[in-house]
Amino acid sequence: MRSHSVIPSVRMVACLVLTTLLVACGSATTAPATTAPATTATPAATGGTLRVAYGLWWGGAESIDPLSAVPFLDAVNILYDRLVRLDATGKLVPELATAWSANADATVWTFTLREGVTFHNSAPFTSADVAYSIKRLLDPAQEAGLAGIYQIIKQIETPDPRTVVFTLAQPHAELPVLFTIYRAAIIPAESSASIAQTGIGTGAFQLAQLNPTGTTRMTAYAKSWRGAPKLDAIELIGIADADARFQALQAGQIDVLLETSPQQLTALKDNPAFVVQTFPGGIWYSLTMRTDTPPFNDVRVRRALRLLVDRQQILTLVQQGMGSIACDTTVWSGDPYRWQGSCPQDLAQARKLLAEAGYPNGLDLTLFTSDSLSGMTPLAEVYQQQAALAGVRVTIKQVPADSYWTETYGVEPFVIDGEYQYPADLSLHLFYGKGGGYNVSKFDDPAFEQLLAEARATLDPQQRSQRYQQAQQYLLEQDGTIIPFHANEEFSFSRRVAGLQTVPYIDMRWDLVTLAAK
Amino acid sequence: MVELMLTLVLQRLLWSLLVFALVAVVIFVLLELLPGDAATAYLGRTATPARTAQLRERLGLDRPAVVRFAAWTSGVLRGDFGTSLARRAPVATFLWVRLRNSLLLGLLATLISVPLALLLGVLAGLTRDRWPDLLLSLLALFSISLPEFVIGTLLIFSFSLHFTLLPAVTLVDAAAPLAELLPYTVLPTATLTLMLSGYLLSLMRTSIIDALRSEHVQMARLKGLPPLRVLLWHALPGALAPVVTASAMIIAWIIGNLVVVEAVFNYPGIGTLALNAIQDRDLPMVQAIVLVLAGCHLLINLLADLLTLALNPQLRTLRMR
Repeated sequence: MRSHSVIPSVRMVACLVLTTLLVACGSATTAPATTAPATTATPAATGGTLRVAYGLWWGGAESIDPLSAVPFLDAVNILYDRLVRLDATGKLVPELATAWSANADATVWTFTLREGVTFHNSAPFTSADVAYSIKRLLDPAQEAGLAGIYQIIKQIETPDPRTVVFTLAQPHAELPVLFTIYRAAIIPAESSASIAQTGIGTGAFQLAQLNPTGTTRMTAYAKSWRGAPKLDAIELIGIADADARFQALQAGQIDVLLETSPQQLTALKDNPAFVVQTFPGGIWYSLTMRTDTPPFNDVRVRRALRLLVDRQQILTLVQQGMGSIACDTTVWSGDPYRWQGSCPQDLAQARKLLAEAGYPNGLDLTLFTSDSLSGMTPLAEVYQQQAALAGVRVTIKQVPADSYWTETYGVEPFVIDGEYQYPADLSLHLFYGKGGGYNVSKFDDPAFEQLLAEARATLDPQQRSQRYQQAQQYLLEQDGTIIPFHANEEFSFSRRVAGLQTVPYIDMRWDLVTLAAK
Repeated sequence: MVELMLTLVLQRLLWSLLVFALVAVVIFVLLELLPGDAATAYLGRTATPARTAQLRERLGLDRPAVVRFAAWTSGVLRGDFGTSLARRAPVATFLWVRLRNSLLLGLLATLISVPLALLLGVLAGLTRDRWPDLLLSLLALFSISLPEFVIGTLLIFSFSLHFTLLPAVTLVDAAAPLAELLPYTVLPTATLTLMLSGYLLSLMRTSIIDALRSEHVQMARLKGLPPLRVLLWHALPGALAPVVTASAMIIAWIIGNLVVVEAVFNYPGIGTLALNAIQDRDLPMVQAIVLVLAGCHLLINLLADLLTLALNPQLRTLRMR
């Protein structure tokens, strides 16, 4: 019954997730020095302890080190702050940095840090902590595997306790976006060895008890720079089974469930005690071809395999319609840099392209999948049926989930992939860039690289947006990644809870959440 | 006579130990055969060859399988199950407390279901084909046919969601004192009890019907003995023997079902631990769990064998003739 709630399945994905966020930034060069407004406010807020179910994606091995290979995502988001954050509208908002600006060619970025911020151990927050935390991201030995993305930072200087200067190897007009993901959490200087135990950050809640398989408790940090949060405490309660989580919600043992399957949503619909919050998200599944391996090294084959897709049918059958159609872009629908093209099914053209590529009688393909993420195999099955209409015979090969990501994905020429939402610049680099950590289609295209580099070097947001959109359009014509839809996010919670924002749970601002008395 | 019994018991013990050792080897080999290892499971999609190699070295996974098996076996013989790969702490710190919680469930379920099912089974047997029998047999059939997760979910639906009497899932820590754990054991125990009772009741019913038809019971009846005496002295002892053996097998089988029942109720027992450990490829943890469960299995069967011997004079004296 876990089925289509995508996040639960995201155990694997979650790890690499640099994360996500809602949108890439609108204006990157300067920002107002105010914090994000609360989306909802409840008058009857009375503190209290909010109980949030946690899916135990790592089976109890979770670590609160933001750079762990097995991160305790929900806790990491609550305990630490980032330099900047993206709000529900995709705008960059200040967090530990209050202002940022670049030089004329966007190769040197200066961040001004917030005054009067203290860590949970009362130590003051300074530029040394920022330099230390970002340097950890550059370390090639870090478990998160993100060093490649941050290698663009050549030098980090701290001229005074309130200022950090980043010198880049090449221009990057979107640099602040790299600091919006949970991996870029700011921890105290020299705390690498202890952070997984202490969880000392600047977040609105501090660690009281760490127990991923049981209850992890975080209490309000009274000296938080945001002011004391409205809740007294948050408890993350580890419940591995999706049905058990849902039952705990219904029985009132927990207050918030951050991922809900379509079936569960139906069960909650008419229950006045609960609220369901659905909004477009950026989780996607893909059929990924290796562009360096026959027959997929022929761009005509890639185009044909993409033209035969009926995206609406896939969205309906795989995701019960709970999502939005995508034209093979990893950039989600709410991102200001998303390319809004169309990509209708065209079987005749698909057959024609296949014939031109030397497959007049169709093509035999093996598609690899696993049940690691719940939507993977359904996607493979629907695609198999659609491909048959264009004479493409797809054999589905299902392999065990626990070795899929190490031995099949990234190795076999045609696989199902699933991933999370990232800001446009990060996403396009990670999944299609030459050194991108998750470039499974092995896409290596100078013209595409050129578009991305141009985008990064373009300071005018309008023109930059154009480049990013061109890059996505280029992908639809050239690359080997078919992404039929992006899934919705679905939170369900007790009616007593208010203030949950329409952002992925990993970017939730829990200090804005309230719990009414019973 | 006593010596013979002793030899028999010793024989059984030796066999059990041998099976135990075999189980250890089989687990190890099976886990080796699976694709991937603890390092790839831990790193997941962030695995690169360099990072995987580094982690393998740190975890000692780069040593040959035979060496690792030998190291593990010698540890177990000294009572040391090694260190959990995923959790970076001794296996024992997780294992025993979880075993305690699972044994609590198993024990409660057994203590309730065995007397209950035997009593009701006899009742059904005595009222064969009349309404008490029909009702009881129908109920037993239901509890046998429904999978444990269905029973569990139905119970949650009735007693946690419809009537909010009991907690739906367990939210206390694995190491919580038993008193704190008790309220959470009610529904899982009820699920296990229903499953156990269904089987036992049907068995007892058949067994008592057979016994009542046997010659020596007919003879006792013809002699004019009172019905209760016939039942307790002549029919029951013979009828119980097969039920005891079978109940041991059923209880042992229940251990396997703990995984499902514990998952449904999020109960912090050895079953949920096993599930997590398998997902994480936590080899030492999985090995320890399977070994402990195999131990329980063997122990229960041993007990059942001895009980059957005690109940059945024919078996007891077999060797003397």
